[in-house]
Amino acid sequence: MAPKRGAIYALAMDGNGDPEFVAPAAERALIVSEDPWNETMQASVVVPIYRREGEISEHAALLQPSLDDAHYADCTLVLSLDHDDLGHFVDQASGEALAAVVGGLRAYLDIDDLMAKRIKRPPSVGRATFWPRQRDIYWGRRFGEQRERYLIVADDEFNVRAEQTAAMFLTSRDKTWRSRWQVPGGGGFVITGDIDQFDYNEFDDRARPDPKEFSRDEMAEVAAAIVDVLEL
Amino acid sequence: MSSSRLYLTRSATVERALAVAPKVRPDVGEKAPATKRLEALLDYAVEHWEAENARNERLLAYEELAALPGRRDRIKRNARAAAKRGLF
Repeated sequence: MAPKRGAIYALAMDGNGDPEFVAPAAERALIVSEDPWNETMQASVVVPIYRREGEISEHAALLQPSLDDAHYADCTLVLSLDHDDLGHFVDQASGEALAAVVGGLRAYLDIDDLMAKRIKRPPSVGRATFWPRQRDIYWGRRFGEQRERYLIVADDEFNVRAEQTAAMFLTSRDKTWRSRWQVPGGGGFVITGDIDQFDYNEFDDRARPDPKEFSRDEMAEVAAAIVDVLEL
Repeated sequence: MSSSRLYLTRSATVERALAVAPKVRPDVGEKAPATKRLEALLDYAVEHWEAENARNERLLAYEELAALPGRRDRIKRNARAAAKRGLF
């Protein structure tokens, strides 16, 4: 049976034959994608859960809300996991914990500004080295001959300070059955439940795809679709 | 549906439909007014159609996903690459 939104599972990711595989530091994962997505796509969007060590500041708690006395969810590390990578069911998140995660995801993914199509000021800090901007499209990791396009969805105030970010898969294939989860833009369709985490040096910042970015209108549609698929 | 309209459209097909209605909606008995029985049958048909439609959509999705194993591979390899780089 497919995992349900709000359920917490142990992680059971193996190396799939890769001797250099390193198990994730996260212990568990909280399912945040809606049930129709989970039932149809054989994968779910999750927020990884870690064991809490030490105190956390009030501000950081927005993006890393506590689920219980010992664990917190990191909303800035939201990503898709195949159901094969989920282990046993651990618990159901409380309504309060799930609401806190929703708040963290809304902030991290900058949902309200995107939906309102706000033209924002540049980030409040500068950065000399490359960092990917929200709405930008980049080529992602290269696996053999394969290379796919990804749309940056995280807030620029986060991106300018971080070394990794969340990006959504962009495809040229139009599938009517997944119309609920695909948003046109960037010369293709972004799949709103296929979210990946990328280190900045995995993006090619010189050879950019054409088009290079989503328009503000397209991004507002993406944000609205994220609200649907993650029930934010 | 008004009774006059029902009267005009009553045919062998409508008669069969009226006879079927209590079978698919037992809460509407055989002695219920014809309009009630037809309404119940229409409701049943719409629900049935929606359920079938949803099922067909899902089957299409499964077939497409089965034909596109690359999608699962991509999600798995991206998650593994992220884990390997200590990203989560």
